Parts: sequence; structure tokens; C-alpha cells
Amino acid sequence: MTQPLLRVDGLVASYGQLQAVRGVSFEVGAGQALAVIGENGAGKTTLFHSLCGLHGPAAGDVVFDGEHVRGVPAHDLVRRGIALVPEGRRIFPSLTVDENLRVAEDQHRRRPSRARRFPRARVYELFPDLVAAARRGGHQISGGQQQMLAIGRALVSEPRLLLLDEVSLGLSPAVVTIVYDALAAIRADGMTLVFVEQDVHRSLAFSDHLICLHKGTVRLAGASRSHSLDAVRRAYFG
Amino acid sequence: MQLVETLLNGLLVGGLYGLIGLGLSINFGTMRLVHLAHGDLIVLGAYFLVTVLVPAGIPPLVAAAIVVPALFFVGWTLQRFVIGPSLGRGVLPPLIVTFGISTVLQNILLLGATADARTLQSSLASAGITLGGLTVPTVRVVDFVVGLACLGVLLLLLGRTALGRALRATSDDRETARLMAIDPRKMYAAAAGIAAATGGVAGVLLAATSTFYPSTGSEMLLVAFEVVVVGGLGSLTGTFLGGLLLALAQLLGARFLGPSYALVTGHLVVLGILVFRPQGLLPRTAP
Amino acid sequence: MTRAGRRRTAIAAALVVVLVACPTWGGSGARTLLILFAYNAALAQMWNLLAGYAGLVSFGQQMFVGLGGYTLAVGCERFGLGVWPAFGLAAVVAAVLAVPIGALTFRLKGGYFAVGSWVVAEVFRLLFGTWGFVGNASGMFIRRARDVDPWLLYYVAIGLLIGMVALVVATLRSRPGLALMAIRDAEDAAASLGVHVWRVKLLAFVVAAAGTALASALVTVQTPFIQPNAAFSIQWSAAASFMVVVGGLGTVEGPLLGAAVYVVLQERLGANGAVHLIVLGAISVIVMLVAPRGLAGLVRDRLGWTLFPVVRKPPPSATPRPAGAPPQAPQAPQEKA
Repeated sequence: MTQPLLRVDGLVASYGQLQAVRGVSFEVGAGQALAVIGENGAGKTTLFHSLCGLHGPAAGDVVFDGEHVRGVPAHDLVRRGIALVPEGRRIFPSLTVDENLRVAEDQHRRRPSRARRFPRARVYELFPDLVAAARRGGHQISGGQQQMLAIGRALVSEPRLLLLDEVSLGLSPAVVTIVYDALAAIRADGMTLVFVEQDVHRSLAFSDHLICLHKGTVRLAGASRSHSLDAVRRAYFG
Repeated sequence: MQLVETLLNGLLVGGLYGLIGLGLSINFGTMRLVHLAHGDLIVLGAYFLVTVLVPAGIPPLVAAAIVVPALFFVGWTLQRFVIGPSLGRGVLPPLIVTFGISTVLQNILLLGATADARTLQSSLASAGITLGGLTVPTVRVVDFVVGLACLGVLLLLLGRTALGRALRATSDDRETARLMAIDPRKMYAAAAGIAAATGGVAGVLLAATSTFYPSTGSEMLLVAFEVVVVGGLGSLTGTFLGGLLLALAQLLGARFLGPSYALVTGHLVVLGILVFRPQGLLPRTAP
Repeated sequence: MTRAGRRRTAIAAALVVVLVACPTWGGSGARTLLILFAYNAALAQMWNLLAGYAGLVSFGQQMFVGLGGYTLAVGCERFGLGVWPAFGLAAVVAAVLAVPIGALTFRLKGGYFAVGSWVVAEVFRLLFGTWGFVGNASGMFIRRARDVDPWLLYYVAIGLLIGMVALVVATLRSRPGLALMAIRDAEDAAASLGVHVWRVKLLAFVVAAAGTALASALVTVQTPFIQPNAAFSIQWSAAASFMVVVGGLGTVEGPLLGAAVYVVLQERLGANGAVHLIVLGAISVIVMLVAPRGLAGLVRDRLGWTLFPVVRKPPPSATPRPAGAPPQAPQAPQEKA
């Protein structure tokens, strides 16, 4: 069996004084989609922050494509291929939509280490809604457009692993469909995804595997196909 | 006519004020840093020009062109190794560190260059430009034009270049900027360097158009601070306009209260703004 | 009182005795040095009260230096007051003016407050410099001050310093003091627990103003003249900030240590103010980066010594909180004696 693209082993991370992630382990194979399920406060965001380098985990191992990357800072890790679409989107308000994309693209252009699969043009293809808004300020676009932009921004840095914290939170059903269609297209291209999705149906439908976090530990893990909605719900609520 | 001339004169001074404020604005906009040594960096530039470069026989324009990158280097280095490490730990450390740098700079200049007044002997000083019946000193026009040009360059830098986008992104949201493969520390160092470089330009103008002492650094800092307060923090253009408005306030004070009340009027207007309209007189716009 | 507490009281008492007995062991040289130390330490204590406890970093304290000195000068020269009543008046005037000034400047935060208070001081400097009543830019000479016995001045200085330290210690051990330390540590949390942050800060500001004015009155009597550019100079705040940072912010003994360093450096580096300031500036930058709690902090960390303990330990009955639980409400504190 080929080695997984991402292997997490006994990760321990804190959010302030609180130990939010207490010994989490899982693997993601290249091209797979892993759903992370859990209620608020279960440790999902802290986990993601640790994986993308925004936050230094206290203990445990993170192995990305064979390299140990625990403690590598975010700006470095992005170059190596892990990109995060953060919770709350975090669009740069004083940059236009196009500039938001360019900011990420600029940095990749400086030291291209991988083939370009997601130039800005491709992002505009995936999310046509952004084309008309290209010149608008980041703070002037709708929530749905912000999520599309946030995903586009992450793609433009040419990741091999895309982390998405809260894919559909606060979005209308129509927008959610657009987003998931785009994610499906990206996935068909071979992208590896780890995502948080509050809609458990969607989580199960879109993912190959899932883990369910509760109070910082993994309560349930395995192939999405083989888990019923009830089993997941039980694990979700502890 | 006399009034119009005085007004024009004053507004042109505002161009220099605006230039002085730009550096402080860059530092505060990017790092929330009130850089208490900014004024002294300006004066450092002036001293470097007048006591080192010009006496060495370097032609003035070339010398001016040397001061700017030299100051960039000073600002960049200070940020990277001294000021940067003091950030993120609360209000006090950066204030003490930048104030300490200010004190050290002023007193090194005092020791090295003595407390004598300095200026560049330039024929600009007494020349005047006459246009349509109005005469203004050439130096004031030069101040204004250079200040405006500097603003233009900065706006282009911020608006059109990759570095500019990265700087704006870092000021907006440092954490998310890291997700764009941007190293905030490098951005801060670049911003500090650019701010110091604009200080270098201001220093060259200071040297060419007025007299200065080591203690002028403190005066420059207060001008910069007041310009930023008046213009608001929304944009560099706002800061530059703030310079014009401050000069106007001082002018009105001199006109109606007497020449020795120019500075006080400026201070009082600034205090009034700080208390009653802290966002500044100009509306917040994108840089 | 614990043994440590008794030892501390003994040391403090011994220091006081040595100071009081100065005429017997020291001459005018020691006296001058100690007066220098006293008013610098007083200035530093007051700056520390603001920055180390109330979270107010001020580069405008010189406004109260000038106001205190000028009140003394005007009181003596224009209104015929005696020197000592004028001292008291200086404190009162500064305290009264501190209320509106504080109320206005408190709207500013952080670096803006620091430079904003500097601007206020500048306004005073410029206005006093063009005010005929106080001698414009040339200032005033205080004739009455020439008649003051130097040893009397010495005892006033020492008394002032001891009184100020005692006041600070007493305040910090009291309720407002607890509030001050809560504000220093976490202002928003303190506010949510019902601390009247604004009022406590204003109280600290007023006390600091009065203390600074008294220290300034001392200097003015000693000089004995006053000029606007010197009295309202940024150098007063610069020196105070350096002393506090080097000595140790937020401790009672910090400003004393800092003032001692300041005075010793000044003696060693002689009349050349520039070198003195370069060294002091450089030291404060290094201390701020490397040992931010200053000398007092180093002494506490390495040796566990504290001359004026005002830190509270929770009572032994407090149980350790489980991870993630919300913080407990503050309990009645016990002093670490």
C-alpha cells in the first residue's frame, strides 16, 4: 500500500489554556476526501490550525508526503502544499476579489515548485460568480462569494492537500451546491481534501472516510459508506 | 493677494508635513506601531547628507539618491532585529524600544555633530517662483512637489505591485496572510524600510530647505503624529492631506492669534480631533 | 508577621535610619546625591504607578513637572507664599488639573495616549513660554528658595520619598490597589468583574500628578529657578520611563533600583548629558527585549527576594481548576507577608 499523503499521529494541541486536541490520529490517502465531523468546541479548528502551521502542536506527529512537518510555520507549509480555507473565510477587506487571488498567486509565482493547475483563470471558471465581482472590494461581496473566493485563494497556491474548515456554514443551498460541484471537480483532478461540514448527510455523501471528533479525541473513524447516520450522530454527541 | 500668498505658502509647507507623516502612517497601518524614532530617522537622513555626503564632494542630487536607500537599510535593520522582537507583547515594549532608539539617535547626533544648527547652503533657499502675480519661495514648491511625488510612488507601490498587495494583506489580517505563504516578519521589515526611506526623502528636504538640530527629531515626530491624526488612518492620501490641513490650522493660528501661536493652534486642533473625532477629518478610503 | 516579613521590615527600617542620620556620616556631597536620588525615585514611582499598574504609558508627565514647579514659583514670587505652603499648593493644583486632563486623554489608547499626552505637555510648554505673568521664555527666579536650609530640604526630600513609597504600598494593598493590579493584568476581565476601570485609572492619574508635582517642587526649590523649556521637557518622561523599565515595571522596588542606576550613571558619566542618555537609552532597549521585568524582576526570579511584597496568593482552600473550566470569581485575598 502506498504511503498516505497525510498521517497524523497522537496530535496534542491547545487553544489558549485549553487542551483542544488530545491525541488525534488518522490518515488520508492521496486523492481521498476525509470528512471531519464534530460539534462546536470539539477541536476541529484547532486541529486544522495545527495541520496548516498556524499553530504549533504541543506533541504528536504530522507527516506530509513522507516529511515530518510538525512545527513548520504556515507560510512555509503552504509552499510545501498544505492550504487552508479558514473558518469565517477571512477575505482581505482592503483588497479586491482579484487581488485576493493575486496575493496568493504572487507568492507561488516567486518560487514555483509544482505545475500550475489552478491559475486565476481556472478559479474564475470554477466560480463564474466571481468574475463580475472581480473588481469589488473583499468586504463588499456576499457570504457565498466570499467562500468561493476563499477556496479559490487556497487553490491558487497550488496545494496538494486542501483543508476546508466549515464548507457550507451560513451559505444558501444554491451556493452550497455550486461550492460542492466545484469541490467535486477539484477532487476529480486528484486533489486530496480534508473538510469540516456541519451537514452530516453531505459529509457522508462527499467523503471517502470520516472521523468524528468529540472533546478533542476521535470517537469514530472509518469508511463513510459503512457508517449509518445514527452511528455518526451518536458519536457526534458523545 | 497677500492673504492668498500666505495661504499658498502655508499649504505648500503642508506638503512637507504630509511627507513626514507618511512614514509614521505606514508603520502604524502595517504594525499598529507608533514609531517614536521616526522623526529622528528623518533628521539622521538630513545629517547624513549635510555632514557626510556633501562634504565628501558628492553632487547634491546623487547624495540625495544615496540617503534614501541608506535610510531604508537602517529602518529595515532596526525593525528586523530590535523593534520586531518587541511587538506582540503589549503596548509598552515597542514604545520603550522606539523611544530608546530615539534617545540614542538624538544623542549620538549631538555628540557627533554638535548642537549647532545645520542646513545645506543652497541657492534654493532664497529663490522664489512667481506665477500670476503670486510669489512663493521655491523651497516650498519643491517640498510640495517632492512630497506629492513620494505619495504617488507609494500608492503605485502599494496598489500595483506584488509587494504592495502582500503588505496590504498583512495589515488587514496577519494570520490569514501567513496562509498565503507570506512571512509577516519580512513584511514588517519591508514596511519599516519603506517608511524610513520616505523619512530619508523628508530628511533631504529638511536639510535643503530649513535648519535643523539633533532635537529636531522630536519636533518631526510630533508633526508626523499630528498629521496622521488629522488625516485619519484610512489611507496614505488621507495622511498627506492631513499634512495640508495641519499646516492650514497652524497658519490660521498665526494669522489670528499671532505668529508665536502657530504651533499651539496646531496642537489644540489635533487634541480636539483626538477627543471628538478620533477617526480623523477625512473619510476612510481604501489606500 | 513571618520571618521574611520581619527581615524585610528590619532592612527597611535600617535604610530609613541611615538616611535620617545622613548629616552625621555624610557631607553636602552625599546630601546632594541623595536629594537627586530622592526626586528621581519619586518621579519614577509615579510613572510606574501609571504604566506599571494602571496601564497608562505616558510621555506627557512633564506637564505636571512644569505645573508643579510653576505653581511653587508663582505662589512664592507672585503671591508671597512660604516655600512649604507653596509645595502643598503645587500638589493640589496638579491634582485638580489632572482630572479634566485625564478625562480627556483617557479616550486615547496605547501609543496614541503616550504621544497625545506629550502633545498636551507641549501646549503647556508653549503657552507658559509666551505668558508674561510667569516670565515668558526666560522663566522665573524663586528668591525665597535661596533661604531654605539645605538639610531641611534634604529631610523634605527623604520624607517625600518615604511617604510616597509608603503610600504606594498602602494603596496597592488596599481595595483600589487590588483593582489597579486587576486592571494591569487584564483590563477587560477586570471591567467585567465590576471594577470601575475608568475611575481607578483617574485616581491613579491624579495621585501621579500630585506626586510628580511635589518632586518637581523639590527640584525647583533646589535650582531655584524655572524655565518653560526645561520644566516641560520630554526628558523628564524619558528619564522616568528608563528608570522604571531598567528597575522593574510594576514593582515597588523597581523604580528605586532604576533611580539608583540613573543617579550612579549620571555621576560616573559626568556632566556630559549625551553619553548618559545614550547609555540609558541603550540599556532600556536591551532590558525591554531581554529582561522585561527589569532588575527587580531578575532579583525576584533568581533570588526570590522582594522588598515590598504586594503580590497576593490565593487562600489555601482554593482548589485547582479543571482544564477548560471558567475562572472562579476572586476570593478574599490574603497577603503574602
